[in-house]
Amino acid sequence: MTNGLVVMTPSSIAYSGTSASINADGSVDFSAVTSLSLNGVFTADYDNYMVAIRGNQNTAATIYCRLRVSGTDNTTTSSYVSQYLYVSSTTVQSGRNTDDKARLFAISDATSKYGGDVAYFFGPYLSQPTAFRSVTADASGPSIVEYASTHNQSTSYDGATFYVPGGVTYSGKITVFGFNQ
Amino acid sequence: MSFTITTVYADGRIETRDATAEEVAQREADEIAFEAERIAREAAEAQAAAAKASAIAKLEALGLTADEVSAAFGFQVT
Repeated sequence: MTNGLVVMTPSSIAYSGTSASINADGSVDFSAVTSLSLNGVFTADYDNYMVAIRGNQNTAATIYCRLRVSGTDNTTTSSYVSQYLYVSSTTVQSGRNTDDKARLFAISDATSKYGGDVAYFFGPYLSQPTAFRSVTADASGPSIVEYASTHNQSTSYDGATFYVPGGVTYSGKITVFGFNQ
Repeated sequence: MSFTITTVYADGRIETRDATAEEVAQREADEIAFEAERIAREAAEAQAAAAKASAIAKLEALGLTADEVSAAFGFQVT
């Protein structure tokens, strides 16, 4: 097989909200969900993955992420550490959160509520800590939101849950790619 | 709080169930944490804005112009 990105079609997805579906090309469409879990997207075939997501929310908010295995999210206290960098015009902010979830994406623009994100997952299927790196660009504004996160549990994960609390719903498309090398 | 979880399989099967007690408890904990974080963030932003306004006022009282404050400290004086 040629080196490059390989679409990882979920073995299943689980959601709460209006609707979600697995497309023939392996991507997942979702509409007005508060949580979306992708199962079976991390496998022994690849170590590292890229997640591309685009969509819009009903209000500006952060999208959180938890790694999961066999349909259960890992919610270990303080196991996820997220460092963020937010840039909008001349405003630059930064911060760090230690939590039971990672910050992965953020739509910060309160007007358009639309954006695109790319996240890299390094070694989620390996029985060692996982690292994440993500960049969000709002469609309007624009602003930049970057996260670098770690999860310290030496667990092999086959999927991830993305969710937005606070009554926020999210619609769009998400695709997971494995790095074939 | 109660909610349903729908599972869609790659072969097209769809299953819908009520969230378990553990899933409901986790959702409730997430909502509480989210609200606490929102309050803390808004307080920090308000405090930072007040500190910035105070700093600008003091610098301007020393005779610096808005352009000089922006050039020296890297933020826009509005």
